[in-house]
Amino acid sequence: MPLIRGYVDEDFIPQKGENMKAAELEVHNLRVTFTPKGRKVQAVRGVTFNIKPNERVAIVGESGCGKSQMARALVQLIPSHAGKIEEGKVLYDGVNLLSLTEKEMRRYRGREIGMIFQDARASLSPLITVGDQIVEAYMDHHPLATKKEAKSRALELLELVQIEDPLRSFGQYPHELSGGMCQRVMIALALAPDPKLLIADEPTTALDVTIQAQILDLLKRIQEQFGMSILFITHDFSLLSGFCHRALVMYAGEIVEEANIQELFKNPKHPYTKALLRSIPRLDLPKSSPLEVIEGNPPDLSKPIPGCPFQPRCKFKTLQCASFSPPMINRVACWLYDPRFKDKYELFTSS
Amino acid sequence: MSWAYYLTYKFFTLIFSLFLVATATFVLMHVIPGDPFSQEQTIPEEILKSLMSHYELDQPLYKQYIHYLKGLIRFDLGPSFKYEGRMIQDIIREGFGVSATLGALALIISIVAGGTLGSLAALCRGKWQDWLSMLMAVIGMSVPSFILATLLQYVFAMKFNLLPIARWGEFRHMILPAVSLSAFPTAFIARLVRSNMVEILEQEYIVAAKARGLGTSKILLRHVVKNCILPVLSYLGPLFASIITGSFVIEKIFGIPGLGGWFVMSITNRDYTMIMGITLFYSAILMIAVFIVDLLSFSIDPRIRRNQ
Amino acid sequence: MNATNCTLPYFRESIFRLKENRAAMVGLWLLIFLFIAAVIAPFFTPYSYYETHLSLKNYPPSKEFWFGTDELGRNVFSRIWLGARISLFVGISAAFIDMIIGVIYGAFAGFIGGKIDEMMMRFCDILNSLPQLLIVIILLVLMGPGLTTIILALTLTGWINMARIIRGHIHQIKHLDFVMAAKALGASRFRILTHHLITNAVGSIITTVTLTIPGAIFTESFLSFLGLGVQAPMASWGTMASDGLPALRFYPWRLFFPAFFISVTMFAFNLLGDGLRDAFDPRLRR
Repeated sequence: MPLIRGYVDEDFIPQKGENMKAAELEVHNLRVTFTPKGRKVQAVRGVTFNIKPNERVAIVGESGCGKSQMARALVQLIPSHAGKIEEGKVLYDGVNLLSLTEKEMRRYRGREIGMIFQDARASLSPLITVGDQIVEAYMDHHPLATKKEAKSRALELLELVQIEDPLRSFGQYPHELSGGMCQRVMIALALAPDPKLLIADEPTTALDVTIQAQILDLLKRIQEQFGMSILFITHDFSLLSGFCHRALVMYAGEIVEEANIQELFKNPKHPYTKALLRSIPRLDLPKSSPLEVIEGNPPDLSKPIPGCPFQPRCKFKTLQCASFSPPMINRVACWLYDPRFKDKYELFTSS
Repeated sequence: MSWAYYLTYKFFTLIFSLFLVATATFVLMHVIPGDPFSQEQTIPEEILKSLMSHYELDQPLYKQYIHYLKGLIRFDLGPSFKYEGRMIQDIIREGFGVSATLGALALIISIVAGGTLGSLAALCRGKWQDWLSMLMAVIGMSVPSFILATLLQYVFAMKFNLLPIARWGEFRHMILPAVSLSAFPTAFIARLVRSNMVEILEQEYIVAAKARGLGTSKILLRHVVKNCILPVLSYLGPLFASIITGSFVIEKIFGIPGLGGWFVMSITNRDYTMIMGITLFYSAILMIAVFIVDLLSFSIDPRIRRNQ
Repeated sequence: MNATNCTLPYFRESIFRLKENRAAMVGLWLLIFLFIAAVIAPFFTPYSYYETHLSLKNYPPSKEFWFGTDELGRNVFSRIWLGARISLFVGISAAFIDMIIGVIYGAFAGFIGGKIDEMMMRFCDILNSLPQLLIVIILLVLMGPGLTTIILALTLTGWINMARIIRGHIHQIKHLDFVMAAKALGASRFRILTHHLITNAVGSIITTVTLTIPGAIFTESFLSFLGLGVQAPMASWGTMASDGLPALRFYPWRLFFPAFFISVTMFAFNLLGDGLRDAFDPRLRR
């Protein structure tokens, strides 16, 4: 039974042309394999989603579920010796980014789609001052600008990302700055060419909790101010509320659920999402309550997975979960929510 | 650590090492039993005596030592045993110009070709350019320079008459010898550059720069090159040594009147003073080269400054 | 934590990785072939390496003389295999002696630490800065050429590399496990040090020895080329090449065969050594 992951959202009708600065990203059935040392690992298995203009979308999932790799695949940042994009389309403003040549792709990177990474300090060149890097980034995408213009714009950006003393930081090297400041610099760098979509790959994972909150706040403000869209990738569920509009839950290279943030927290559908939310330690429960864990381990991505990837660890699994991969229906990829099996669902449910 | 401190430290190490080599050479000369003449046929007593006094071999050792050191400072290495009336330093002056030209050419070829090959391999990592370049590199490191020299000589000069077999004088005479000399260093540098570049290219900031839309050439120029030069720089010392020793055989094969050729001849003739003199000269050159390379590395790489 | 328990899987994995490396396997098989040939090949021809056939001087390769004859009518084929034995013997014993001296020196310096260690390493630096080949040549000139002299000359400075590597390893483990293990397990410090030393250093030792051999073979043939090698009637590949050079124009096979074998042998050792280095590289462990 061939099953294609199709995504249909009855709620949303794309509004093209409404906002001049809008970005619209559509990802269709993206498949990426990686080849570490001869093995073949299917890191991304048929991912489909979209991002509307002015939207903050999050992709949540545990480490190793393929979310970072997917993010890099979107802008063809996977080196040929490390992996390959097997299938899929990434439509940005109607253009399939995956079909572009490297040269054509370059026109989109930075200018249309910006990216920030987890380890900010490592993402900055250690030999060039922070200010010069922003200046370079600016001048790369505004070839007619003078160095003076670039420098003033760089200082503006540094101020925008809430760096206290822009002039002083301008002349410093990355190793002289704290993690939080490096991250702000990276955001400034990403903003220099004025992109419409910002992909943020776990930008706060390496930071202190208080700085995390600041950075998230900063990203939110910038997004609203500039009318960008943000694709926010994280493994930390707790960061989502108050930050993004929609979230996609990813497991073993597939998207298992997608919902607006309120809905997701109030009414999680997929067993994995439920288990994740339950596993967040809560302060209002008695101290002696056991920590909820999800039994088992994520599947080995180097082997093909028949059926639902979460099935071995799922409390609610039905007979067909092991053999048939559930399609995305009603924004969740789970047989329990397929209307055709509604009766059976009543039978097998345990809670 | 400041530049001046480093400079002084390295300078005195240099002087000390030179002193050590000179002393070691002297000791070797005089500790090995027998004198330079014992290998000859028997020489009449008086002539032997006058020869000994001429070469000051009858003086007490410490006096010879002092005289020796004094001579060195003046760049007076004494006369050659086998070539009557010729001072070693003159021979060195003559031959060094030739060898230096050949060596410089080989050096340039090694760095340019090696750097290009290595960069190409790193950029095309995993593809056929990479594989082929590295295969060529291993071959280049495995075929001894003098073997390559004879091979080139056979193919290009004898069979096809494209280039002169031997001798020296014009640019075309330099091609085969320089290529032979540079084979090993080119291969070594290529591998060095490749492994270093691959490491750099994997760094996060390269990916981030690419994500910003930077093209390959710009990335290379701004971020990669500076880092790549460093290991090549540290190899320059051994590179010099390799070219110097390589020149011995290469000059012999191609009949080039360079210092290497003289050295080989002095070995064959058992001309001890010349052997010692040229050895000292080469050692000094090598140590000075390493000294300069150390200074360069220090000024380029902040890490060395921190470590020291 | 049993010492043997931890070491074996590491070695097994490394050997497995080596087997996967096709280039290294090519090198290994080439060497095995060479070794076997060096032993048995002379039995395939009735003409030994020292028999002269003055009426058959400088004959090109033929059915009688598979690699031709040299200027004294001797069978080049047999001489090549004699040269193989000598060159390989020189290369391997030099590398081996380097290893022994280097390991002892480096281990001692590493264990002792402190000022003595520093001085020992400084000594190495100075010794290293003297151009090796020049010292070798002087020694050979003064002591007269010959097999033992060559091996002595080769090992004079070759051990420094190994010493540095071993010392580096010891310093590494001294910093890491020493402190932790002493606190946690209370096991004998010596035991822990030696266990870790074996695990980490053996790989480096094997690799370094393998990669030293081509250098030694090169140096030996280089010296022979200058006339400082083994003496007649023994022949190493270097001396054969040196003898073959003046006859290059008319009897190229006399140079070609030794040249070919030197290159192939060095090539094989290089491939194997590279493969070993990659196989033992701790960074590539899964």
